[in-house]
Amino acid sequence: MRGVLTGDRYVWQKKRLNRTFSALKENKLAAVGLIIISVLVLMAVFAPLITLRDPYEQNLEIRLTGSNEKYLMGTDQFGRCLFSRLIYGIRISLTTGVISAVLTMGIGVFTGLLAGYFGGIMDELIMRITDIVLSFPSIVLTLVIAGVLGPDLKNIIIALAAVGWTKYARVVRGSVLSIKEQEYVESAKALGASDIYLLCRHILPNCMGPVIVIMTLSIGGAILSIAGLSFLGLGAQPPTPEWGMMLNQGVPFMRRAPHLTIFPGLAIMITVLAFNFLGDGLRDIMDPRLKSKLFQKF
Amino acid sequence: MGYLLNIENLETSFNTGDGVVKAVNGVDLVIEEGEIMGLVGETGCGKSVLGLSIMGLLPTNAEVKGTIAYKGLNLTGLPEKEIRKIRGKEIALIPQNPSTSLNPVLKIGFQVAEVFHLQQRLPWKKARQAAIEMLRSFDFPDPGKRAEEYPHQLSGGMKQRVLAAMGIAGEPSLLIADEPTKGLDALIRIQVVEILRQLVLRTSATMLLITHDLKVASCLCDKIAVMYAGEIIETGPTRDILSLPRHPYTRGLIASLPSNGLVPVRGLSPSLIELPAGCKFHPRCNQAAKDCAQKHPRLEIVDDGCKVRCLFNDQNCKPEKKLFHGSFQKEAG
Repeated sequence: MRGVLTGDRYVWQKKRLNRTFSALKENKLAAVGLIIISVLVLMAVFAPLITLRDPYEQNLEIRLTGSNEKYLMGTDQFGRCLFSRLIYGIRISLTTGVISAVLTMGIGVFTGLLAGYFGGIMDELIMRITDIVLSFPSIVLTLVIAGVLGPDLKNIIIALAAVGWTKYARVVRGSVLSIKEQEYVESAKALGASDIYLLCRHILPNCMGPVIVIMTLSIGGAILSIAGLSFLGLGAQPPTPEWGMMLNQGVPFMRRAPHLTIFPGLAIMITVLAFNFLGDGLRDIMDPRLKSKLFQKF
Repeated sequence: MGYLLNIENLETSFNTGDGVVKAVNGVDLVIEEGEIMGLVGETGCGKSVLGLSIMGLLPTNAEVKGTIAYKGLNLTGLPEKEIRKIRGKEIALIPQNPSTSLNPVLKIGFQVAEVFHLQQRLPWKKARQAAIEMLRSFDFPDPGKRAEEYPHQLSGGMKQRVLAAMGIAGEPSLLIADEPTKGLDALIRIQVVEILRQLVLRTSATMLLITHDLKVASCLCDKIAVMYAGEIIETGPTRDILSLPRHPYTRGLIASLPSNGLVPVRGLSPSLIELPAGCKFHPRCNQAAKDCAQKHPRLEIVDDGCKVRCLFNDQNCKPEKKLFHGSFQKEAG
């Protein structure tokens, strides 16, 4: 009897794993997002193979030409190949976006854990700082920090992290407050686990669900913010092929060469959209209330 | 000094918004090495708080007075760092709820292995093997595969076995089992009793079994202490307590067993904020006299090994008809 049960459970477990995948399949938007992101990543990795020209190579004789058979998306005001620049731009946008999202999450999760677990003065201090940060309009605060640090991609990432960590801190603190009262934490304590061990091994994995969702959703936001700040001249500096900056440089030529603004704009839009689709999908899959709806067919 | 644990005049209270809750009021309890002490009482009488006081796991609003001497070391005033060395290695707790006491996001193999890793300083690989061996010894079919499963994939009895495995993995000298049969149905309860019995036979451990189930206590324990409203009201060897209960409350408990006709003890247990004066049981006692409302009886020795907290223990000491019909009596060996 027991053997039969074991077998059943094993099959059931496998089924459950398949269900998560098919949930992703069911959720068309999330699947589209995942596919676009995968394609973007591949293009970024194999950029030198896809593009024929150096993104920095100038040729003033053919400046501001429209798309033709030689230059897929035309050239910019210095005669550089726009297509190459866009493809190389994926590398910059994806890496800065992911790095800034991970950094923001790291700071937020760390402070949230401390505040939730130790409570008392630590909690008060961290939560009041988040209140202060949240009381500023985030764009203005980012602009100020980036402005003070000086125009550079690195500084923008720091500025975004300094403003964005608060939402993680709040979510994580909330989860920790409820998790640390759970009996399994107490029983681990009764078996002699130290505070740090408890935090890392028992509490942290239990509050990662919402964190992963927020992070996926915020990668899109981070890419958009970095492009926006670069557009304002605070981020990447020429001649780096950064999308926001390319957009900015295209503005004076909007009448003569609209492709200089249209293509980078499209690139930003598609990338951000893909991350938002995936984030939304992940939220649906991880939310137990919506889960039942998705699984009704099974 | 055969005492492993000597609790003297332990008082544990909680400061709450409604007042001071006195959960444990002057408990004296001695546990000798190698014996199984059963702590019996109804819900809310302070049994679990007593267990948590020993472990030093009370919430921050708790206040503990008195001494808990473990191998001559007083645990009550010990700083957190020192008591952590004792937890798991010297005294381990098998927690109350098998369904909520395992971390839902960690594999059970890992949860058992971490005790080996933390307490016996085994490297993770060896700790894992030790964990699988431990699960095998608790009759897990195919423990290697089972170790890869998460708590929600196990049944209640299996979770209880995992928790028992975690409890003894640190090879503690004293095991505190906090209501191991709470909320389990009859079949699983027998399983758990069987697990605990195996545990005792295998490790020759000293155990403090906290339970409200007299039957479970009767078939596992060498000695029983009956608790009521934060006090121990009767203690002694299991056989004597069950065959010749002297305190009216103990008699009430035994009479309320299903096999004895489910006769309830009338009334409700008192609020721990406002305890009655005199004998704490007198409002519910059938034999209460005038004195009972004023005089607080002491825990007095009535027989060799038996102590009773009742003003009339001499009169009550008459042999009565056998009240207790244990259905799963302790088997020899």
